[in-house]
Amino acid sequence: MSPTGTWREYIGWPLLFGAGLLGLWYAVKGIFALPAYTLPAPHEVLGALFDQRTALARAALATAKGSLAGFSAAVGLGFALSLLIAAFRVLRIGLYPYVLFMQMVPIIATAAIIVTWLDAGLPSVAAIAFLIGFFPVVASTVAGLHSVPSEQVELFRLYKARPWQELFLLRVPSSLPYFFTGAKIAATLAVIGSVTGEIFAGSTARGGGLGFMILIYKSSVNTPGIFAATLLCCLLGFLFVGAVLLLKRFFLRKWHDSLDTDFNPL
Amino acid sequence: MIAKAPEIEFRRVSKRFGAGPLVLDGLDLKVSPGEFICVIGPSGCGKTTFLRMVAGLSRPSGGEIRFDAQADGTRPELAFIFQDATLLPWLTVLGNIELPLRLRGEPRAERRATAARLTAEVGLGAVGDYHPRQLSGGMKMRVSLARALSLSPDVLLLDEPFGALDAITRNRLNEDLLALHRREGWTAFFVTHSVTEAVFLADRILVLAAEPARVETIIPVDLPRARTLALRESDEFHDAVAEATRRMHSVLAR
Amino acid sequence: MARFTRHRFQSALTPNGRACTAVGLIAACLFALAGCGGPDHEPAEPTPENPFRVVLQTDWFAQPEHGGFYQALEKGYYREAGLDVEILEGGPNAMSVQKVLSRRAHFAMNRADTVMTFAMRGMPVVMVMATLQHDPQGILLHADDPAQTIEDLDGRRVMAVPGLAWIAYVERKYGITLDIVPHDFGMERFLADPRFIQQCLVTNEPYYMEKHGAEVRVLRLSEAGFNPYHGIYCRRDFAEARPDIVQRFIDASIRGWTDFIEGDPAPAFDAIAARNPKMTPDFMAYAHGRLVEDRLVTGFPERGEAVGRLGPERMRALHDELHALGILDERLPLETFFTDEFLR
Repeated sequence: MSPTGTWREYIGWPLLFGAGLLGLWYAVKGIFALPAYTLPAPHEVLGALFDQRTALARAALATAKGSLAGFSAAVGLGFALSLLIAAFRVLRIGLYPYVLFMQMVPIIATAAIIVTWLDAGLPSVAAIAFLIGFFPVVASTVAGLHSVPSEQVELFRLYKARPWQELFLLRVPSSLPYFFTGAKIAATLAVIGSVTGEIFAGSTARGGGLGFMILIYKSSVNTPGIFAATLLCCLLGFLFVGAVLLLKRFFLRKWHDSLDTDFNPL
Repeated sequence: MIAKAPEIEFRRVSKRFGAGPLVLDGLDLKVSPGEFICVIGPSGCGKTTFLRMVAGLSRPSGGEIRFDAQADGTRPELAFIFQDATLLPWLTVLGNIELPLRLRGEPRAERRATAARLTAEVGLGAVGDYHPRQLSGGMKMRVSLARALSLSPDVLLLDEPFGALDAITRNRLNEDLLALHRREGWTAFFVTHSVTEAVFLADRILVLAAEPARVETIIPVDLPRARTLALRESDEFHDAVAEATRRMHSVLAR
Repeated sequence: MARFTRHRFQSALTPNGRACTAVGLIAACLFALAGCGGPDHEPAEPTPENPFRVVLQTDWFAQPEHGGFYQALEKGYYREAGLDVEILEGGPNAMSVQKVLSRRAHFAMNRADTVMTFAMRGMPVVMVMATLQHDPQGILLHADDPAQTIEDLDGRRVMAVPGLAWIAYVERKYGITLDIVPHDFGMERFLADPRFIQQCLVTNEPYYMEKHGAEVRVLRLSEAGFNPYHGIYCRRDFAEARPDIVQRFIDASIRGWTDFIEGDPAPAFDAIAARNPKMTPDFMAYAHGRLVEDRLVTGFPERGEAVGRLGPERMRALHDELHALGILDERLPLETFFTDEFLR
């Protein structure tokens, strides 16, 4: 790929494929004569987005809040637990397997339980977004804390580093790329988690959220509305992941090689 | 400085891992303060194990390694240079060099000053704020060397440090290493595969053999101590390399 | 004309090589997934010996609110009318309207306001008969809850199905705001919280809550003015192509409902209990009592109401009110969602 062609290629091809996919969408709709309540056309989805802009904007904001709260807690507490697991062998042997196990819990089942404990509203939604992101963060970060090259560990032992020095000056910085991988997963899941949460624990008084709007559109058979809300969920997830990647870039730009692959698939 | 380096005595030192075969058997060696010892031998002869035991990263299975008691009773300061530069990628050149001092709790201003001086000494003054990924292999090894020197070591242990570098870079680093050695006066143990490199650097060459593990011989190098790249062009250097090679082959072929 | 899934099933019976068998197996699986029990059969002149196969999709698991249909089935009224009726149970994920639209069911149940919404979205379905003359939906409160009327619920948290028309209806009509949280179709939260409020059917939840020791009260939506028919709808093209079948189905169903309310409901009860073991005789007696005493099925004859009857005036009035409150975006001609041609 030539340096001059890059920019155009990176704009041009996605646009072309986007147009192709939209064309396919219209074609499927046309060929099978699908009505809007089965498959709305892209312009009908945009129409719903426009008609419902006030409600959807408020809902997107509510979902963003729930996701952000859950995500922050997942990342913060996840990182803290990872440090404890790395620092204490007992936790690593005794507790870490359960962390890996908890990743398998279906979030839908947890959501139904959380709402009976915390009642409907933002705390429940955030708790569900937290739970779905917490375990991947811990799993990745612990893996990172333990995949320090053995020569670097020996270097620290040779220099008689204290355990906390080994943890904070060696293991923690070394694990950051892994931590960001976990945070990226948590960012994707945070939006999915809060939308799932809202389907169980949304509430009109607390802004509802996109998951709640999807329930409302489902009851009123507003298929374009469901598509529009789903589109916003995707955009929100994209924003979250983008923010994590920017943070990762900020922290790791100077020393880590993997960054280019985050935005650039080549 | 020179007075600080210890005399090191190896007495019947042997090593095996678990129930495995001996990787080192009955090493007897007395090393004078400030001596430069190169260790050479085929793969698997226990060269790295030998270094790790000197460093205290591994314990001998038999025998002992004695460092003579210094006047103030302290243990000698040891520094290890790995095959790979083993730099921490998130630290700058200066940050890497000052790391041992930082681990030791040295105040920030002082360790910065030491690191800056060492950076200049190994010829990296211009790249102190660079991160390792921006450096060439030779520059990384220089950082590794400067880091090892930051604690003013009495003994320097080098495990094939320049093995992955091109010949020109390697020769330059050898020369610079010798200059530093002459000035600082530490005792050096240097593992290498190259007889030429060993002859250029060493006072004595320790030849190890595998299967069975043993100390094959110790070859003294009778070249003047103040060695520069110019020496490599001389007949006496070529003769010394030829002699060492001959002796090594004769003993290893036995 | 509705063909349903007959052709797919028959391909499995045609011995036309291995590929055909494979296709047939897949088709059979799809067929089983679709929830249909056997081949469709659509004779032009159905008789009890050669009946027309009809699938009815109900709106929930088998319960006394569906009693008339089970009564008609059990007492053979459908068979006499030349119909082979299969009743599919519903539930939270039944997707009834999709089943009707894709012709996997001929008839399904819903409220008139929802059928109007279907029509507004362009779905070709019409309501053809009523099952309940009056809406049994209500708001369930603990007996000592301070709220006495719908207006008192302003700002209160209510567990309900978000997006249902009654919510917007009461909010806009009374100028109140409800804090709706999604319905989990359970009772635990109500029982645990003395100020909890949830959407209910007067024929259902009050019984269970009292069984669990809670004293409850119901604010009926019909008393607040929201009183849609509950009824049966089908595809318009089916009603046009086979009015005879629709007529037979409605007549037999009205006969079943009348018998269920006025006669002995035991045949329906047995059929319901066989399908849904949660349905105890005690509960079914309670629900039946509500249906009878509250005249939910028969309505009030003095107002022209009767079993199965759909009144155009009431339909129009509900439509106009929903439109005035902005719940229906556009005015719809009556015939786009309703016909009473089978009820005259």
